[in-house]
Amino acid sequence: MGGNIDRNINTGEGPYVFRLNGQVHHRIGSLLPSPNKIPKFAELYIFDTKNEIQNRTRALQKEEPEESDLNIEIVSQLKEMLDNNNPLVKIFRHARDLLEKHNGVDISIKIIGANKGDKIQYEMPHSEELAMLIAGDVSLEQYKRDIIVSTKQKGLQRISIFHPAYMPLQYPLLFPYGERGIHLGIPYHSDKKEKGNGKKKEYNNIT
Amino acid sequence: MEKKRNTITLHEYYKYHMHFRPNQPDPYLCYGRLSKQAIVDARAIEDEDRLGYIARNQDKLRADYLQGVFDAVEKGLSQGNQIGKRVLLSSSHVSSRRYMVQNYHDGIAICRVYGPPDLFITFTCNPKWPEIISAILPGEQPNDRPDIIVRIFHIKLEQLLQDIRLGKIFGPTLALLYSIEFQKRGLSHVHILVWIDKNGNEITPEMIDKWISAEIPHPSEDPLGYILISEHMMHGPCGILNENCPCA
Repeated sequence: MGGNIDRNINTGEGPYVFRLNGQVHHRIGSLLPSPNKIPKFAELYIFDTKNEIQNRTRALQKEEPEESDLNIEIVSQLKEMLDNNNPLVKIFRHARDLLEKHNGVDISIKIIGANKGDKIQYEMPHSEELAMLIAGDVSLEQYKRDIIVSTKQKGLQRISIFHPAYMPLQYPLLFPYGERGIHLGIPYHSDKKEKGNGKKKEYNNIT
Repeated sequence: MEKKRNTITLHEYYKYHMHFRPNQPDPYLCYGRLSKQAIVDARAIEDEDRLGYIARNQDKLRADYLQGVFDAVEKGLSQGNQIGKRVLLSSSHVSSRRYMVQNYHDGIAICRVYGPPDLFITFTCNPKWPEIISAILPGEQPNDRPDIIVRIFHIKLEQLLQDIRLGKIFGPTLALLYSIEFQKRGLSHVHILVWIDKNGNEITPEMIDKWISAEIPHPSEDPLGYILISEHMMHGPCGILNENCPCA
């Protein structure tokens, strides 16, 4: 999570508090780590997946060295659950398979954004609606609305707060099916504004 | 007539999703600490959007444009390039500087009319309130459900303020001023200032004794008061004497 997380606040005995300051942002990197670097973030889904569990726990320990009591079994079960259900994870795994098969092929993942007023709120997303694989290099200009994750890229790119995959990318465990979040132009349930009720009734069957 | 917005806002979206619904798992409520992080995240998204709007629409919002120039000159910036582009955060943005100054001025204006306040009341949320205990699901701790805590606190606070306003507690009042804060533990508490309608009289020691007691009630004369005071108001041994004391 981008931003300065205040880790000094939970030293007492009181309930857990999550506090951070500064501007918050989420960014996404590339599919493959730079040479001789430990994989992190999205790279964990692609690179060296035979040792994925170890890589994952190591990535976490670096951030919070005191919390090293991770249960390997739970981590691998969660990974399995995401592999089976999360369409975003499936796309990343698919990219891994392709990269393994054709060594050095240049592919990108396009995480699809939403047009103003798209009716994507009301149904469970499928893999092909959430993201797709693109062969070769794509210029970013062409896909301003979407997030393009390419094999090798310097630095991290910022994710717009109105990208429907903002929350599911950051919290795959909270949104295990890749449920899409807010985007611009979601209409009210009815044009007559009944205050409090009537809003987005159809919504209920998702969450 | 201006066209009304017919799409939902970020605030409405997250409000809708964070609302508790029976028997429906909610990613913003059920996952303990991770949910809390997601809530903070959602709040940060909202702030980013609002601040972005203010920054993009300065020409529409900046009614006090000239004031900004004067401020800059006052600070000793006389060259145009030193001033740079000013982004003014209006007083309508909660907790911005202008917001705080405006509220402070309001408070001082009340003091100018009614004189110094008479009572300073602190009212703190208690996670053991029966309303909170009965609203959380089995297995949850009160601090897992900040939504319930703030909502019940708000209901109780409104009732308390109404009682004070209507004169049920301290007799007729002239004015009321309060500020809600969040403690580190996520429990909200409020500081209230009350101006009592004294009709030109002074407050007598008898009146103060009626409202304020700084002693431990006698266990047999006021058993409920004794229990409450000894549970909430007394600071027990802490440090090496009591390792479990939450104040450490």
